[in-house]
Parts: sequence; structure tokens; C-alpha cells
Amino acid sequence: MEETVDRGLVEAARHGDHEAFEALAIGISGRLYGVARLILRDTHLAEDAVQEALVNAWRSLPSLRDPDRFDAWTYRLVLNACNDVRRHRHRMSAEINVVEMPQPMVDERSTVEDRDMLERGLRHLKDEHREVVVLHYYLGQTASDVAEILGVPVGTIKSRIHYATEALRAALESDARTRPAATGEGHR
Amino acid sequence: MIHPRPIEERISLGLREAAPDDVPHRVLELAFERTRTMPQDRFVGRGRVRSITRRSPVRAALLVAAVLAIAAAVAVVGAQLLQPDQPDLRTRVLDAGVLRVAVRSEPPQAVVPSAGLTGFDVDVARELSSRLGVDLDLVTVTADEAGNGSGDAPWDISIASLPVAAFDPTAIAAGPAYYAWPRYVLVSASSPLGSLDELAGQIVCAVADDAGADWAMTSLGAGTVVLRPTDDACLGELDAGRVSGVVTATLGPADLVVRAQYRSIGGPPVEQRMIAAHVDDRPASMLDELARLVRDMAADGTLADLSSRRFGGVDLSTSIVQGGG
Repeated sequence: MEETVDRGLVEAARHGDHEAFEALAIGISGRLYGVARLILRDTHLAEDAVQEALVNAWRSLPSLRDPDRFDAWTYRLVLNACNDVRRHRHRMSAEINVVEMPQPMVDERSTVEDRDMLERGLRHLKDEHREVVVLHYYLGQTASDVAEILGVPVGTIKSRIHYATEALRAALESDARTRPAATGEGHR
Repeated sequence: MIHPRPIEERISLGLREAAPDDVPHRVLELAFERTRTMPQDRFVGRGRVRSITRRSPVRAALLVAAVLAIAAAVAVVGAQLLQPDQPDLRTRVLDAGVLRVAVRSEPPQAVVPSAGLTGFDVDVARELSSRLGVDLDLVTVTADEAGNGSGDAPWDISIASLPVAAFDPTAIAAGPAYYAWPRYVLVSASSPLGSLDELAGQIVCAVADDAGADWAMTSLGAGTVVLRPTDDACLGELDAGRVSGVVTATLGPADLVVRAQYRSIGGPPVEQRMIAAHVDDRPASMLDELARLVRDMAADGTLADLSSRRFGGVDLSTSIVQGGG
């Protein structure tokens, strides 16, 4: 789901053009929000994280040396913002509103079941595994890209992807075993 | 139960179903409201960050004039600043509102082309500056510069993944340890060797100029120690059957997870990696304060969190020897 970023807009925003920044932010904010919701599993916290990521993006844009890496750079920023929000949440012991995932637009039972199981599976992953799952499977980043975004060796990322995939596979297969009748009926 | 789709595709589709791209408009509005009048940061020189407002010719001229005036003032009072009664490092950092931290762009750090330096040391630097209530300047140095204080880069403290043995005690004062680095002695997974004692008299490989090589030569009891420039080069010797074991230098616990063809049979004592400062900066009160902050970070789980994120889920702060402050 990577989209090509307009280098001209990035360059303009780097030099203080706020309208260019707004155009970039509008283009990227949906993906950042998706990342934040999957990581934090809370709508309001995700909104806070996206807002902080965008504010940090504006402040730090002059340090972005390669405009082509704008998307990856903002992913790093939103992950940082998620971590900040999460730390703050732990310190404040705030009540968490678990996201009610929206109903799907299409009647495709297996995808719906997968979505629900994945949501539960994600909840049980460690933070660093959830991050690589979201970057790799949701945003479509390669292991090398994820390694660069997180600043972690690529071998570590491959290991995390492998572990997290197996954990999610186990979650999906576990659900299939516990709901055989309903699942079976659901497949045509 | 039949799922024709591969697991990777199911995960990908499921996540996209679960997180539709519908960011509320008010999120963007609030962000834009905050940033419209907010100055941008600008990197200067060696990764230092300074806040600037949007540039205009008049503003730029004023800025240049101000810089020249400040430079002249610094030249006039410079000698006074170097007098023995100058404030100590902690006072000067707090007064300046900026902590200048020397870091290395080598493992276990990582350089991200689009985002600059990143890694555990940088994370720790950010957390410490935040807790001190000051801004952060990152200054990139080599291990030698951090160890003996040479080089022209001005910095207040170093967080450079170095042990106390790397510091010239006449130039650099070691502060608190902030993590402990493990080295491993690796053998092939199929090797019959099961303990360090069994390597006595054998040929082992270690990384040149690394403390693991010193340990291999002085404490391991190996018959011969061959030196190679990197861990991978040593592992190449092991794969070729030319050595019986390898003493790692920069491979961390997470790296071993994806190298199932090797097995660890022990290793040297973990290496305490320390925060440090220039001796002539009168750093005692600063290093004491940093020791207190590091203890706080260990106690509240921050160090464990940062370590786990950067070292493959492993907390390398559990073995630090805390002192000072």
C-alpha cells in the first residue's frame, strides 16, 4: 500500500511551506492512523499519536535528507508517538477503550473471521512483534525497510516477522479448531 | 477447514479490514493548528538540532548579526569561562538548556539514511535529556574520540557503548553503566564441544581490536587465537572448519536467534558500558545526577523497555552494576 510521495511537496515543506506540509499530511495520515490503531488498539489514543506524529514531522522535516524516504520516516514517527502514548498510558493507568473494529463492507466470511482473530492475536503479541507485523503486513514494507524504519538489524526483523507470523497463524488455527461448525458453514 | 489463501495474505487482508484509513478530520485540523505557528528544527553540523522560525531575508540578516555579536562576546569572555571558578558541567548544561551527547554510528547503533542516527544509545540519550528537562544535541564521534576526548566535536557527555577500559582516565571520567553487553563463544551446532574448558588448546577466532579477543588470548586458554575484522568473518572461519569456536564482538542475542547453525557454550563476563564526560569539565555532579536518573530508569522499567526494543526483546540492563550518585 506504498504510494509515491511528491518530492516537490516534501522539499517545499522542508523549507517551511505549511501548505505543502498539509498536502503531505493529508496523503499520509490515513496510513498513520491505521498503524496507530493497530498498535494501540484504541481510537482516541491513536488519534493522539497521529497528531503528535504530524507535529513532530513538521518540526523535524528539515532533518529529512532523502525526500523519497518521507513515508518510511513518518512511519518511524508514528511508532515513536505510539510508544510515547503507551508509556504515558502506563504511567497514568488510564482506562483503555478497546477499539470496536468496524464491520466489513463485503460479506466474505473467512476474511471477517481472520480480521477478528488477528485483532485478538495482535493483542497477545509483544510490542516489538506487533510493530513489525503492522509495518510488514499492513503497510507492505519489506524486512529491509522495516529494519531501516526501526533501526534494528535486518536479521532481528526477519526473526520477529517469523515469530509473529507463527503466533498469528496459531491464533487463526486455534480459532478454526474451536469453532468448527460455524466456520464450516461459513465457507462456500 | 479450508483456507485457500496463504497465511501471509490472510494476515495482510485481515489487518487492512481491521484498520480502515479514515482518520477523523479534527485530528488533521488540530495538528495543522499547532504547526502553523510552530518553528521547524534544523540540523546543524554534526546532527545538532536547533529551532528556527521560517526564514526570511530580514530574519536571516538579524540572525547573522546576532551570531556575530555572540561570537564576539564569546571571544571577549572566553578566557573568563575557562577560569577555575566556572560552573560545573551539570550547572552549565542546565543553564544552557541543552545536553550535548557524543554517540557512535556503529553497532549496536544503526544509521537510518532518512532519519539519522538511531539505536539504544540514542534512545537513552533522549530519555536522559528529557528527564533533565533540557534539549538534546547529538554529536557523532568515533570510539577513539569518545575514549580519549580528542577531536574537535564539543560534547558534554558520551553515551557511546564503551566500557571503562576504553577511557583514558586522564581525559575521560566514567559515569554510570547503562547496559551490559554479552559476548558469546559460538561453536557449530553439530560440534561435540559443550563447555569453554573443552576449547583449551583449540583454535578460536575473535574480532580484532575487540575486548573479546583480549579475553580469548588471556583467559580462554585457547591454543591459538586468530583475528578477523568482523564476527561474520570469524563465523566464515568456523563454517570452513578452520577454527573450533568464535568469540563474538557485536552479535547480540537477537542475532543468534536467526543463526541456528551455531550454539553458544558460554562467554566472557558481560561488559559494563558506561556514560562518560571530560575530566576537565568537572563532571562529578553531572555524572552523579545521571547515575540517579539511570537508577530511576532501571527501576521504572524504561531501560528494560528501550533495551528490549533495540536488542530483540532482551533486557541488557539487568546485569548493570549501578553506582555513583
